[in-house]
Amino acid sequence: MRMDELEKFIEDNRKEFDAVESFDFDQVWEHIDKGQSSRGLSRAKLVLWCTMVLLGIVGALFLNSIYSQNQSFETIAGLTETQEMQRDQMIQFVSQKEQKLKEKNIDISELGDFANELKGLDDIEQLIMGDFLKTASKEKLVKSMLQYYESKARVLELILLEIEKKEKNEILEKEIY
Amino acid sequence: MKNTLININENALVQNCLNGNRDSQKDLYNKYASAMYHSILRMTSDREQAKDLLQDSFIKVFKQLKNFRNQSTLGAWIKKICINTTISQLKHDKKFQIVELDGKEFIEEEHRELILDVKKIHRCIQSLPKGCRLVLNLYLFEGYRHDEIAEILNISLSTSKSQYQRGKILLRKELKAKAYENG
Repeated sequence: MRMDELEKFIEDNRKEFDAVESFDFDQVWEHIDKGQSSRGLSRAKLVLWCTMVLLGIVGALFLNSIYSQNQSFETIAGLTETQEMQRDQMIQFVSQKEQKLKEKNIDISELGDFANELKGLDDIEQLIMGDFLKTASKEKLVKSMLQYYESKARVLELILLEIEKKEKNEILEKEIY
Repeated sequence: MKNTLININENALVQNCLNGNRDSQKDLYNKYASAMYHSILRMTSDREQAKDLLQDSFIKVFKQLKNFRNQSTLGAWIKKICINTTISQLKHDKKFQIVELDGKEFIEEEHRELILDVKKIHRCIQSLPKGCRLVLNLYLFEGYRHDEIAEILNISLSTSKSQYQRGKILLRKELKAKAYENG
């Protein structure tokens, strides 16, 4: 196709058309530079970074759980001799009371406030055992544990006394009538 | 010999950019930014949009630089990215539509001598309607053939040709009007 005057002029001066206006090159470059870094991070690097962070968190949780378990075994196993003795005595004492209560063949839910008390104590036991897994300082927990056994034994004792009282009353009533 | 030296320099520049050398990346940008900006501006006729598209285009350039295989010059490869980015953006515009024109529009009103000037042509091109401005730029400034333009813009060959003719006539008219205004 034959070129007209306009086409010829543009072809002859083509390079000049690429330099007519000036603009802030550096400002645009700054954005390109930033865009490059953020895009680079947003794709593969971001996925890699997130995976590493996720693995780190999972690893930390896993190690923490192992560490916590070890801690609890150590501390319970590492109770002082006196604490160990106290604990054994209390456990034995509580077990005896529980056994006695079992022999009475009584539905605990019928015991009213005592039943609530026992339920509350059982919840406390769960909390103390849970805290043993989480807490590094066991001193207060050991005291709480012993107090718990003491309280449970006392409640069980009261329950047994109450039951015995009822039994006696029943015998007396039978004797009277 | 000169072309070989240019290729060696370009290859070194590309390699340095790929190695993450920021100075080289800035050099590459400085070398081509002006030409790319003007190409984009001629198509969009919006300075702010042209800057944004230049930015997007160069981010693509650096991201895809590893795929550059010397099948064309680096400048032509970058230009293609800029043009594709710009056209893609313009196609997003809901009003973007290039229609085929009949021959009646191609009759020039009067014959007055054209005073040709780079700055005036640059300004007048930006006042052309979008469709013919795009076709005229791709054909006249970027060296695309009509069949290539038809494919890129998803129009028929005849539409590309008719829009080009219309663009040239309107550009002449605009140049004449400007010459008349300036006395």
